[in-house]
This record gives sequence, C-alpha cells and structure tokens, in this order.
Amino acid sequence: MSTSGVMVHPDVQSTFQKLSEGRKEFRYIIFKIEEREVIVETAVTPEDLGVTGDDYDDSSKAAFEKFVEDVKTRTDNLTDCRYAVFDFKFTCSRVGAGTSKMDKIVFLQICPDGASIKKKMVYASSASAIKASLGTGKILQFQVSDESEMSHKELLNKLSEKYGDH
Amino acid sequence: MAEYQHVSTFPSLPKTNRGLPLVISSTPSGDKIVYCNGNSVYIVPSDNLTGTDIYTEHPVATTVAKYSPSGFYCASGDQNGNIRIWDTTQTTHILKATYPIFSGPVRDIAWNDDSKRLAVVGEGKERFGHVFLFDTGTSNGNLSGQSRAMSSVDFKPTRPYRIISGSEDNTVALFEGPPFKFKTTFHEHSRFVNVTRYNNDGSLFASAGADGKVVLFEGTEGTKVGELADDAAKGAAHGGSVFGLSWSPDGSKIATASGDKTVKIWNAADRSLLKTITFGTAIEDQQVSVQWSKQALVSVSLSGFVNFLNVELGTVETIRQGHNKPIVALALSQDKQHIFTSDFEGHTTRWELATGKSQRVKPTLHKSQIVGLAHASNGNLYSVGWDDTINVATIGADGVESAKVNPTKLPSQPLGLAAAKDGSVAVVACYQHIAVQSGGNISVTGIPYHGAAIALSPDNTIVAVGGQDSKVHIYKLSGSQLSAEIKTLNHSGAITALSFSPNGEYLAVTDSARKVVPYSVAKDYVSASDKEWTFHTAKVNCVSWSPNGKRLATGSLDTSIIVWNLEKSGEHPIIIKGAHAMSPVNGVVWINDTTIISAGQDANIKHWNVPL
Repeated sequence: MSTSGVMVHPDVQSTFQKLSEGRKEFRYIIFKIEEREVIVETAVTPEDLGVTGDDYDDSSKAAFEKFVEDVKTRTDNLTDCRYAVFDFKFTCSRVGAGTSKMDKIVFLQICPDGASIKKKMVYASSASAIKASLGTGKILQFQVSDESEMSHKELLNKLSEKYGDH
Repeated sequence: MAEYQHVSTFPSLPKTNRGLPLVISSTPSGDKIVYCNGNSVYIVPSDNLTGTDIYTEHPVATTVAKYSPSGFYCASGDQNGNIRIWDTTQTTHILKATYPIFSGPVRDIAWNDDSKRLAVVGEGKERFGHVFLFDTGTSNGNLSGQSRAMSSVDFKPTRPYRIISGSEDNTVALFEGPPFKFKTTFHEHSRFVNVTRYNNDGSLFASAGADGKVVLFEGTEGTKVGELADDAAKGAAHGGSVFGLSWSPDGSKIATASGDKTVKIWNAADRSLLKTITFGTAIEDQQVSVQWSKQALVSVSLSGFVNFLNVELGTVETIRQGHNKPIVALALSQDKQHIFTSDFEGHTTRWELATGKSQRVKPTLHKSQIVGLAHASNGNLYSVGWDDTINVATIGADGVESAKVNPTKLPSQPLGLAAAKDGSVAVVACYQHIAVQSGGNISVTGIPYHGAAIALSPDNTIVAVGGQDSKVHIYKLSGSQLSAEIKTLNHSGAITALSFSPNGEYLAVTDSARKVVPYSVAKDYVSASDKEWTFHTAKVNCVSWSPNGKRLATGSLDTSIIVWNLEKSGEHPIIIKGAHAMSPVNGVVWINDTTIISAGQDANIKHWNVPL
C-alpha cells in the first residue's frame, strides 16, 4: 500500500492499456512523479524506435538498448528516478517445445544510486500505487539501481530463467 | 407427521463495522431486504418477520449479498474473497457456481441489468476488482486502475454499458465495455470514496465519500454535474462521512446515510435537500447504510438497528432492535407474551412473541456480557453480568425504554442466575460464592469449588448449584438462609445448566460431557430416565422444561436441539439437527407444551413446533 500520498494520473492506466492490449501500440513507456502525481513522461511506438530487423532474433537487444539510452538522457545520466514498462520480445528454448517466441511485459523501478535520497524514497514508497493501478499481478517486476542491472543480458537471463527449461 | 416444524425466525440484525460502509440490498420487487451477519445471508421481508429466509453456506463470515435483477439468483461474497451464486426460488438454495475472486474481503457486488455479468470489488492483494460472466466465470474485462482497495461498484443499467467504482485512493473510476476497460478516474473527493451508484436509467451516477461530499456525474462520460450541498454541513452534503447512498426507484430522489447520525433525502433534479431525518446522539446512531427499494426506504444504524423511514414525512416509522451479536441469555416473561434476550455486549431486547416487534431495554443493564436473565411476575427483570453485578430492573407500564435499574455488586464473577417466579428471591452462582438476593439484601456464602450454573426449586426451598468441579451441589433454602450442602451428585464434566421441573418433581442437569440427566428429587436424586441421555455430540448449553413437566428441551454446542420425553425416556428423542446452522444453541425455552423458542450464537431467535 502506497503511503507517500502520491496519486496516479488516469493516463497512466490508459496508456499502459495501449501497450499491453490489442494492437500493442507502444513498445515502452516511462513514468515520472511530478507534483505528487505519477504521470506518463513518454510513450514510444515501435516506429519511433526505428529498429529494423526482427525483435525475436536478437531478443529485443537493439530496442532495449535504445530504451536504456532514453532513460539515461531523461534521468541526466542516472541521477534521477523513473518507472518504466517495456514490452520484451525474446526467444527461449523450452523442454518439449523447442524454441519459442515469448512476449513479456516487464515493469522496471529505476532508482539509481546516483539519485538523491529523497527521490529514491518517494519512488520506492509510491511504487505500490502505480503497480496496483496498472494491475501488475501478472507482469514481471524488477528493481534497478545501476546501469549493470539494466543491461539487456541481465534481464534476458532473468526472463529465460523464469520461462526457459529448468 | 413430522416430529417438529420450524415455525418462524426473528432474524439477527446486519453486522456493522465502525467507519466502514455497509452494503444492504433488496429483492427486485422490493418486498425483502438482504443483508449479512456471521456466516449467513438474511432475506427478510420488509413488512413482517415470519417469512425470513437464511442462507448459511459460506464457510467464513459473509460481507455482501445482491439479488440479480431477474430475481432468480443471489450472489454473496465473504471475507476470503469467494463469491457464491445460488438459486433463490427454492428454500434449498441450490449452488449455481462459486468463484474465488481475490484473497481478501469482498466489499461490494453489482449485477448488470440482464443478470449476466457480475462485478466484484474488495480488498484483494493482487487486484481489487473483477468483472466476469456469472454462469461460466469467464473474465469480462479488467478493473485495474485504482491504487487502493475498492469499496463500491455499480453497473450502468443501460447501454452503452459502464462500470463505476469508488476506492480508498479517494478516486471514482469509470470503466467502458464490455469487455470492461479503464477509461478514467475522477478526483472529486479528498477522502475514501464509500459508495458509487447509478440511477435507474443510467443517465446519472452519484459518488459519496468520507469527506461528507456527494457528487453527481453524467452517466456515460462522467462529466461532473454538481454536488449535493447542505448549508448546515458547510457546503458538503453531510457533516460526517457518507456511508450509504441510494436512488429512489424512479430516480427522482437520492437518500444518503452518514456518520453524522442523519439520513438525508435530496431532489436529484435540482439537487435540493428535501428532508433530514435525525437519529440520536450516540455513536451507535451513526447511519452506515441506506437502501431505497420499491416498497420501503431502510437505513441501518451502527448498532445494527434496521430503521424503516417514511419518505413523505421524513420520520422513522419502525425500528427493528434485535441483536447482531451472539445471544447468550434468554428469558420468558411470566405472562408468556414476551421474551427477553441479551447479547454478548450486554444489550437486552424485549420481543413481542406474536409479532416479533423488538425493543431495547434502556438504560443498558450491564456494560459487559450478561450471563443470566430471569423475569418475575412482579415485573422485575433480574440479570447478572461480567461487570460483577446483579441488576434488578423494574419494567413499568411505560415500557422497556425507561426501566428503573438497581445494580448491586456481587462478591465474585457471576456465572448463573435463578429467580423465584414471584420475584421474592433470586440466587446467583458466582465463581467462588453463592449469593442470595431477597428483599433488596444480598447474603453471600463462600463455596470451596467454582460455580457454573444454578437452579431454584419452584417452592423456593432447594437450591442446586452446578460446579466446574463436575458436581451438582444441593442446598436447602429457608428465607434467604442457605443450609449446608445436603447432597452431591457426580458428573464426568463441568455442569453447564440445571433446571427444576415446574412442579419440582425433577431436576434436569446438563454437562459438558454431553449428558442430560433428569434426577428425581423425591427419590433421593436417582436418574428418572430408563437409558442414558447422551444424544448430543458436544457440550450441552441449556435446558428447559415444558410447562406440563413431561418433556424437556436441551440446546447444545453441536448446533442441535433435542426434545426428551420423560414418559418415553428409553426411546429415541426428537432431534432438531442444525437448529441454528453453524452456530451453537445458547438458550431454549418452552412457551407452551408444544412450542419452543431457541436463541443461538448466530443472534437468531427461532420458533419450533414440537407436537406431542
């Protein structure tokens, strides 16, 4: 339960629906807290991203790296916090099913070590509010505190661990 | 012919929680109101008490129940987040389906107008709401979008369909569908939103919150139309949290119930205040729910009282003042027209047996649980409670609401009470003493065991005390003087209740080892039954003799009542299995030779006919 008193703007949920349902209009969304309210900072379509080639072949590597670059610019090289959701497309091998194409939405709570303590506190204590209103019961959640934790490889490992053959 | 018939029930009142809105509902025709208490759902006629139906199938406490608009099904939710949908047309209430929605209490349920979809909201861990098709359970959308527990939900009754919900994150959310998807939230309230309701044609909806505000919105897009405002409440609708809101069946008026102890009736068109109905000044008078059906406008007080309101006059017509906590003591008035019942919290109610009309005895007799209750022919009501007092209340001609009370301190905690029919003497079994009250004086005798129950013979000469030492101790009483113990009877478990037969011939004793024993007083206390009476499957709680002294009824922890016949003491007794479903029987009393009244932990009072 969020205790920071931060509200969630209605656009947060409606933009998220465009990413998660139907035509999947967006590839990723970045949220920020401004004036005690969680708002959509940017919502990026696959066209905006301009990635050519198949996402499943490189397991979204190119798209994810562009996303990380975007986060870094927006947080002034990781000195601010953000929430983000990313539509992660990847391939993994599963026992009896061979390789299969997967499509998972991940929620990232980005609180870099370089950010001010106050910001980290606000983002940490408001995380449950945004997660509850997105209805993230079924989507994967990650906490990120430095760039290495946000690397494509790290995330892909975690995802294949969860959905791959083990 | 059946061995017994269930005649009628005086139902318990709805369970209320301070600071939380209560949801009561009604049948589509409005002839019955529907509410929850304990593990049960109560379907109570609004004009009488004889047709009460009780559904007791939830394994845990129920929270809310709603009839489908078609009237064929009822959906009820419980503390664990389960929904049961059951048939309403038959008394067996066949289960149609049961769905786990989330892991937390269900707070509100809504059916859509074609009785196909159900929306459920509450305090889940991973989600706060769900919308699905009632017959298959297939999801029909997603109610995420609010960040705290959702407390209220409603369907727009006309196309295009919408769902509105109120949440503890102070927002009202609007969902479009089907399949239902989040559209937007409204930040009109500054505190928890307690209730959101559509009007009859879906053109408007209203939300009410803990900030005392009531806001009206356009039905499809949610544009704000205005607020209900009362100058007396500094521009808000109420001076306290608004817990209940209900539209009149024709959509022209709105009733709101509030923690400021009022129910207000508003004109929906020009948003003017029509009537303010003020209840008392006690915390118990807070109004936690209101339901406007086709036949009645009903509000519920925090005390659980169900108030029937007159819309035209703005007055309270009748109040049902029973109990919503376990009934622990039961006494029949000497004229056999009334019964007195006391609940776990020390409230005492007088019931008119013929009509079920109930009235609280005021002032409150004890501030804690009452353990013994007896009525004498001089109009005195004797009671003992855990506040360690015996109270003699004089109930005069001006009724039970102005009883003259006269509490006297007892030497140790009382556990049982018996009084003479004429009120000349009362005896109390205390934890370490026996107290005899006579003519306003109390004489106390210390005992070397712990008392548990007590009985006084009809001629006021013998006192039998049941002990927690599994023994019955018999004393002689002359005036207020207790003799030394003259006889001891051994049982294998703590004694729970004792009673002398009306002519004093027998002494019935029940114990926690499941036994019922009728001792013959004249024959030096030998058992008068041919066989052992061990038909109960758990502790026996209470015993009562029929007026002719031939039969006795016992109620037990095993939820059943057994009627024993001394003339056929070797035969199988009449067993009323599950007399109070899922609930121990705490009191039983005969009105005449064929009728029993029982009171249970479920706060219900039931009438049984047991033909000879």
